Amino acid sequence: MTMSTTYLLYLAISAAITIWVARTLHDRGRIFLVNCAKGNEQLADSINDLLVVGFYLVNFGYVTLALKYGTKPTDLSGAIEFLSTKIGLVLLILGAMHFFNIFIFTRMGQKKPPLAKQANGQIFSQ
Amino acid sequence: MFDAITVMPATHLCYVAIGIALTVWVGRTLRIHGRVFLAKGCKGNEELTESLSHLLSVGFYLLHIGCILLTLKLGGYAIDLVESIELLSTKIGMVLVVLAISHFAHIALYARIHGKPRYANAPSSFERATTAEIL
Repeated sequence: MTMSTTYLLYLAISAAITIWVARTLHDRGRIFLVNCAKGNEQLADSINDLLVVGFYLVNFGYVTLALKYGTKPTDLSGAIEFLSTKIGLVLLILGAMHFFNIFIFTRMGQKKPPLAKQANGQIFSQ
Repeated sequence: MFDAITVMPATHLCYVAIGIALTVWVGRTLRIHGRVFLAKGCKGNEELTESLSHLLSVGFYLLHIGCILLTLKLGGYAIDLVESIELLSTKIGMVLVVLAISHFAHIALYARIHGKPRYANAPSSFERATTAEIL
């Protein structure tokens, strides 16, 4: 009974933290996407929702796949250590993804100048 | 209630239910929010956008629900609640990872085909698909 409670606690806490980070990125990252989409708010909202779904998929995928690994605890202190290690790993991965997303969002705003096509069909950059 | 006989069918049913629910969620998201990219590529041709969107949706659902049902019997079996949670978690995790790869592949594909043109005055994907270049 301890083990299934530990598992369910791990899933619940990891899900709550993932949803928190995803909502933060969704709400606060919108302005970066509007900037990238050159003011096209509908496009920015679409990209935002698509990225949020991808974020949930990757993170919930990791959380559920990593559930069964690690030394199984037999008592309460072991269960707390087990939970702590697994949730700690989830937090580290969420943190890495969070900063990676911020890095990508701030980089996307800086664009290269558009290429132009010459009369003979060759493409050159301005 | 969670004895050796009933836990495995319950696990199977939970796996199929959760797997199909996740596929429908991702499929709906791609259909609704990918429409902007499709419309851009089809240069405002509403009927073409709608048709393409519907065709892609059907293909997506067929592929993913088919894979989920095919992998139902893989992964061993569980005899009590703890093993059931582990098995379910692993299998749903694989479904999530496959959906994630598929999701980002779709976004990358959309961005390439229907997104920003490579150069100024470039033909849209609709124009490229419907005009034949005569050499």
